[in-house]
Amino acid sequence: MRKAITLLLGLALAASLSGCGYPELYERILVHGIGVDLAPEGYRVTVRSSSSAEDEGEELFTCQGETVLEALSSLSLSTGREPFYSHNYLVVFGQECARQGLDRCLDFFIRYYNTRPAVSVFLAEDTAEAVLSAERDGKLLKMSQLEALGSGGRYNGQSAHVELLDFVNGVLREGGSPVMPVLAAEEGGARVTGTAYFEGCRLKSTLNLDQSRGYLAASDQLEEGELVVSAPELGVVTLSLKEASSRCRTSQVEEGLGFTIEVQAEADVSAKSGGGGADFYPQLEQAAGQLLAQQAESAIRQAVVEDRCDIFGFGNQLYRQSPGYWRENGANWKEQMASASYQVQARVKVRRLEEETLQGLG
Amino acid sequence: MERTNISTGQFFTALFVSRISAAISLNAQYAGGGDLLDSAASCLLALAASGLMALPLWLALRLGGGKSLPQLAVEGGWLGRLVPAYYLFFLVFSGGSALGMFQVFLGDTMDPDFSSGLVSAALLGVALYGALRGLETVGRCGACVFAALVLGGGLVFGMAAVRFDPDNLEPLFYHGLGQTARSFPLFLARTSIFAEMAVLLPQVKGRRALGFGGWLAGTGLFLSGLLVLVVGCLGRYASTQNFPVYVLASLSQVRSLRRLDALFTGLWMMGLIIQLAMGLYACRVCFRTLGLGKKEPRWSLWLAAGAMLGLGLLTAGSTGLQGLTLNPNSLAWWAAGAGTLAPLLALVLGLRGKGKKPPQKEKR
Repeated sequence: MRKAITLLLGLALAASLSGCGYPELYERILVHGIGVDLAPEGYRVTVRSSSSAEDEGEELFTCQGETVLEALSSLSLSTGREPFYSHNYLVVFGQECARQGLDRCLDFFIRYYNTRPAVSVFLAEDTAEAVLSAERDGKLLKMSQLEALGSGGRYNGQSAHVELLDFVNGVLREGGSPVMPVLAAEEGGARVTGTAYFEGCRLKSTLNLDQSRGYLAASDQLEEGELVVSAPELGVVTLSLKEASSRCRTSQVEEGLGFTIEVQAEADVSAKSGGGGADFYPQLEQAAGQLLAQQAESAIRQAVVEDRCDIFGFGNQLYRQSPGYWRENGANWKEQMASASYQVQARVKVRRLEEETLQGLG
Repeated sequence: MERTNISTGQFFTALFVSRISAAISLNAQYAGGGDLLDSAASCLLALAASGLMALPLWLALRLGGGKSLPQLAVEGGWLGRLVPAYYLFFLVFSGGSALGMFQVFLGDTMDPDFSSGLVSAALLGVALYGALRGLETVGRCGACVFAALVLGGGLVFGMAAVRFDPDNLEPLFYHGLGQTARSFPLFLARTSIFAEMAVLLPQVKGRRALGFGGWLAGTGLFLSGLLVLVVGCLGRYASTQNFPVYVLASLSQVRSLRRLDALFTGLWMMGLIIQLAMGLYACRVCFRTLGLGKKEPRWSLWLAAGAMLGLGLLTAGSTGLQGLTLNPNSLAWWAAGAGTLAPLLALVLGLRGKGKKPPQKEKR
């Protein structure tokens, strides 16, 4: 009797849990990239997908709907397949969409059960469709290559790597403003052209690549990258930055708030033409430090002082370190950050041999 | 069924596994707000309070010698039957609530069309088999699950911890003590340890008070540590999610090895099985104490399992019922009943019974 019941239950479970009602792999669109552009009525969504892992990035679809999910669901109208989002690598938002505010379309990526918080997010210089349909050698650019453009900041020191999670935290943090790397479609693929910053979910403006490095350096996100220093006494020197770090100190004085950002980095001389002399290295270190500080100050001046977007997390730091002050003044943070003083001190230490040969071709 | 004994380590390890498996349902809604670090403080407070709440239970167990609380209460008169009846109800309620929460989780994070009811039935089937085999089987399995949890949880959370950002840690009690107070019932609830201790501790050999202390300390450290990890890795994003602990697990990756959340879900299922099996076995003892059957009746297990499954299915299907079965405030009251009120009643009845007749050795 017991065996019969066990067998019966086992059969019932096997029959019910076999997943027969679920689509086969070929009946799914394995979404690898999503682009969202504003359309006259709702959103125009571009989808990059593959039908299996081997032919990744082979397919490109566009669809339209009142909401992002409606547009994505309508893919099945033209393909007969079900979109599957958990393999998604990245989301690209169109310029116009970001200007109108991402809050309306972002919720899907936060709420929907099949989406992930660790997807890379980008802003298109023009339309998301243009970025996702970029080709290299006559073939659509692979989504993994496009995703790598964000994380490539660890090598070039000029592009921010931002995931959906970071963007949402940038919006929700005390006094904070989120950022997103900007992608431009061009012949031969796509490339990062700067860093966009937002006021809430609405696009405010963009930092260029030099300012982006300044932003990364001042917010302790700079890892590596090439810094070109040129001066009559130095010639043109390309430094490879390494082991960069920064910290920010807050001071409250009678005149108002003050933030001092100290950036430290090590560097190797990777290329040099012209210049040289007895004081070459001290001068080089000073010039590199000044350049890095200028780039950071330029980013702070534009984003924080002029546009009142706290992309560096000064407000969050104040909130964490001086909660009492923040409780009293947090509501006026926009005015406070614009009137605060910011000082960037950058120190670049060039690694060298004691008696290194400076003689080159130039 | 042969009554077997298990060691203190096995018993409290199994209870630890079942308690922390419920921890993945921690979220801003149940914690009473988005300041989850404040909830870490209330977690420690609630577990300290649990220790105090359990004092009547320990006193009653001491009075009863080798008897369980239901036995002690029943020997004190007809009113004493309320104690095993309450524990029976509480164990079924806790099991059904845990099953319901698991189904809500499956629907929310896996697929709304997922056959979560059948998965629950399968889990309950495994737990039922364990309970039929006896307490020793459940205890041994609990130790295995604990090992898997330590290794699997360590792997998943260790990989997710690389995302820890101190900038996400917000000042404690910035918005006052409101959230700490609101989270307090959450950590007091979602555990059936009081009922299981009251019913099963006589079958546990060793330094039981030490085991309970270890359980409190281990659970407190784990849960508060987990909350700090969630806040440090997810920041305010955590408050936008129904199951932030699961989201944290889904972030774990090493190069191309991504999404180890399936491992995490598996660990939760294993913890749930131990919780249900322990609860079912305790139900069986309660049935016997109530005099429903000569020995501990097998049919009582099927009945209790059916009730748990039914409650779990109803909970998953009805948001109205979720307000009762998943609400931390209501659950905390039930837990307080199991931890303090029922033991107090057993204590009073036990003292009365002791005055009437000389102590007897328990028949095994």
